[in-house]
Amino acid sequence: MNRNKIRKRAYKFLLALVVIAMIVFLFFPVVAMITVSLKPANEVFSRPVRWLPSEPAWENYIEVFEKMDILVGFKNSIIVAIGTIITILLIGIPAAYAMSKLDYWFKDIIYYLVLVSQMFAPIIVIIPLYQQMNNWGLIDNHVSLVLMNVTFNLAFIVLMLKSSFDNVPVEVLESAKIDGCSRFQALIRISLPIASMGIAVAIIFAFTRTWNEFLFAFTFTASTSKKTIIVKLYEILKNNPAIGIPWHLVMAGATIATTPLVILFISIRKYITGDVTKGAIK
Amino acid sequence: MKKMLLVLLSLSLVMVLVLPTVAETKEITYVTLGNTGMELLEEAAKAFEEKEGVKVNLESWSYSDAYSKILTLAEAGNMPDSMYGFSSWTVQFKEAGYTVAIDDLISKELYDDFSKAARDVCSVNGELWAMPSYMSVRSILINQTAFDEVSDEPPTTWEGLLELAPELCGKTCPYAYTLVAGHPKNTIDCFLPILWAYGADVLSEDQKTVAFNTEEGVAALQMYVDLAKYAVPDYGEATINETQSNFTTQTAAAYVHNAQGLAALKAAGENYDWATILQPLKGPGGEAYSYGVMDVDLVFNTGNQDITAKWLEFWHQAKYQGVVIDKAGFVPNQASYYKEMPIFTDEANVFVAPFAAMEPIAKFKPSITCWEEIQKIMADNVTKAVFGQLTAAEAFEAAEKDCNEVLAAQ
Amino acid sequence: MKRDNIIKTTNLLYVLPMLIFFGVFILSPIIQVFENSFLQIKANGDVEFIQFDNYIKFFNSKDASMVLKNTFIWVFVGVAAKILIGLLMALVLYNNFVGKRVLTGVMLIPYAMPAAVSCVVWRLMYHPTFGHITQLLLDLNILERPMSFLGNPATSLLAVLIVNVWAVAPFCALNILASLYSIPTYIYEAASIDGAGHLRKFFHITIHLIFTDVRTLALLIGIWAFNSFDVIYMMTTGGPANSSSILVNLVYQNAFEFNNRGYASAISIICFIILSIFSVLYVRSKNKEVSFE
Repeated sequence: MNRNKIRKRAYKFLLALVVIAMIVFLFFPVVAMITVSLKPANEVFSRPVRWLPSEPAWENYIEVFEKMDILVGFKNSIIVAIGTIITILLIGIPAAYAMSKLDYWFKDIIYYLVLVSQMFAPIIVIIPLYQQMNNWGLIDNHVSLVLMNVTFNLAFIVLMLKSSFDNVPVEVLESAKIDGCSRFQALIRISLPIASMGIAVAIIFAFTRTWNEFLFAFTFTASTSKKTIIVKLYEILKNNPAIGIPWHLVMAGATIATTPLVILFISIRKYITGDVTKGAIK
Repeated sequence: MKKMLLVLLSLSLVMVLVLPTVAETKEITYVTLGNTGMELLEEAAKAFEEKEGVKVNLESWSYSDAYSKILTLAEAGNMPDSMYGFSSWTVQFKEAGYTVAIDDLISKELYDDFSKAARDVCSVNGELWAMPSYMSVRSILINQTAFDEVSDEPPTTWEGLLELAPELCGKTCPYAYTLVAGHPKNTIDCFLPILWAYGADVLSEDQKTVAFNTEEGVAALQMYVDLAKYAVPDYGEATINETQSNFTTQTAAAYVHNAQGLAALKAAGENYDWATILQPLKGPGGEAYSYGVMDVDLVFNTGNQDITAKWLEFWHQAKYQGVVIDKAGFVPNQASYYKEMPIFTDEANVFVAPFAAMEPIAKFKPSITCWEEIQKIMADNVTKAVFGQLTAAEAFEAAEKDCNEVLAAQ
Repeated sequence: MKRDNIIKTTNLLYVLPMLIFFGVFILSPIIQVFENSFLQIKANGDVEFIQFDNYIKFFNSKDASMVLKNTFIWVFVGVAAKILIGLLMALVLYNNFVGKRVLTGVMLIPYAMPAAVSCVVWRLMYHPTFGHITQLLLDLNILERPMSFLGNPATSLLAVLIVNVWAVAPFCALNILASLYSIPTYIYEAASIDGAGHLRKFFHITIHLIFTDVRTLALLIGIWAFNSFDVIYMMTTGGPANSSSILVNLVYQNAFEFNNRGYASAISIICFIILSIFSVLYVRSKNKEVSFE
């Protein structure tokens, strides 16, 4: 009995240690980002490193808003993300529904195609894609970014949606058929509401991946008024004035660019491990 | 969740409605790098539009990615009408047919206004293929306080600097020197002043082979490797601005740079009394060059060359570009700027005046088609020597072989 | 029978837009890259058919062996680290403790952070003079003098790899956690009745049952790692001296920095072939998934 107790205590202690190590590993950079973003300019370059700002310099955030044109970046990122989400849903929902519930030619081959298509790095095909977009006059245009984001997220989202349609019981669809619903009506009226939670999670994943996308946003946009927030952030790091990288401002910008995503992810954390994402990730 | 979908949909509708509509007017595009002179460019563009009825669209790209970006755009036939770039691009862009010669496009007055050195750098076979724009001249800057602690006289040779280096470390500044690296361009910017001072050069006269693998060249590399031991360990990740902040935060006692960093400090109202500009350091043979960096304005073959050249001519006036040159700490290369802006020759102007005086001994990087690749091979091997993976002699031997292969393939 | 065929054809319309997207934006560019890989495209626009020279050039180049080795380390060491750390985290989260729900919620922050942001943050932390990591190692007397982790060819790849592991491990953890939860508790109960200890249960039941899931996950994140261009590009641009370059960086470098489009295409095709092998394994692995019903 006593030995068991000791064992349990040791186990708990070990668990606590691992949890603490985990928290340090995962959040040290996040804490570093926030503390540096609040340092006054003269403390950023102090040696030895000051772990905490002497007093929080909130004005960094105001300065970043003015300097980085953050609102324009936000607007562009949102336009691209929303365009991507709408297109992805318009294309992805019917496809996922068909893959889950309907029978069609080459069903297996198409399924493998979807699986395999998420394997290819955009970098491999970026040159022809650039030329293609340019032929269509879509360079420096948000439409090209939307098309690219749709292409390279479609498979992931379709697989995700497919698994939420898998949860729609066939019996319900059968009875709808008896009531005189067409297949398309069955999709709109019955399947969509049941799978709505999965669709919401898919939207958030599509949003995140589009928001974070760098390569296309970086290569396909040129004018300052078209750049997304991620590109703007990258450029502030590369394009700084001769006095050296203003780390405190960069970190403030980084914090601002991350916040929407963190809020989104925390709000959907319950579903991330659920069935919804499993189809796509597994 | 239905609500959420509705909110997203309505948001998107709003976004689509606020998207600006494109107006059809005659316009040209000009690209600047790293926001250089953006405010004055905007002012000039406005005045130009009023005068000529042509709108100038201004774009800003980052320095480090400009090259790959312009190549991609050019390949797709989608170049801007004009852009601010580096003189090392001139030949490649000419060969590829992307740019046009500007001799006949600009007025005789402007052509004569450029200094001879500037015109030479931008000319290919006697024709002007790029418009000289911002020019900077680099020399060595030292932290006077740090050097006063170890010596009565500042060094005049690279050897002299290396001798003082061990003592310099750990006093006012923790390190004696700061090198730039990271992007190969930065490594080479830092290394070439030494290579030239030692009497070696990158390319042979006919530009068909490289010429750095000589006794002098290897000695120069050895000097670089030795200096790196006393340098801030930023080797590899640093940008040019990193060395700047190493110097201004008094982390390193000496570095090679132009006046821009100090000009920025001055603009920020900081005290820079401890900074002294030295003459370029000499090699063993007594040779010394200042490191010239010529930035240019390129005119692309877009069909709008005439009006674009007009815009550039409009922009290259003392009241527009001249002001940027003064503010940013560049060295002017147009006679009219010196005439109209006394500040450039004012001895009290401790930044520009000494650098402007070094223009006659300025040496520039070569302009050849495969420069980026040559630069990368050299920089990689210099890096390997610094980290002791190769000796100086081995590094240059390997670099010579690879570079010559690249040159031969052209 | 005939009606069935008609339905099967009309149902194809549901997936058609998706197929068009794949055809136009993935398949046709790949064909074009394949054609380009046999060409030398000169700066002045001249094109020359040079057969397999681009491929031969790659396998003869000094950088190739290093870059292939880097790619191997980046993918395999990276995946092993991500899975092991992810497994450890998942096992911890499988227990009940105070604050578990909050931790599960916020632990995805590293994954949700844009790569541009996390690279910026880690670059500052690795900074030799103002960086947190350098300072910490100095304070703990592990380092004698500051060093540049990203700037030293000996450490650059490892330094970048840590960032990637940091970002992806939590994602693995949550996936493995989902697999752990999907193991029915009666299996453990039955094992307890048979007198199995904790360790035995772990190795004989847990590992055994999540193995297929983890294998599929490992393949997927391996493919992601193989393709991940932005982390390395933004932190070191593959340097110094290509010591942190992987294949995709070499593609970018040759395509966009040296303007060797033909050569870049050849490397792309090599990437494509390697990926195809991975893809086949992935599809096969997905087909073999176990269920507990």
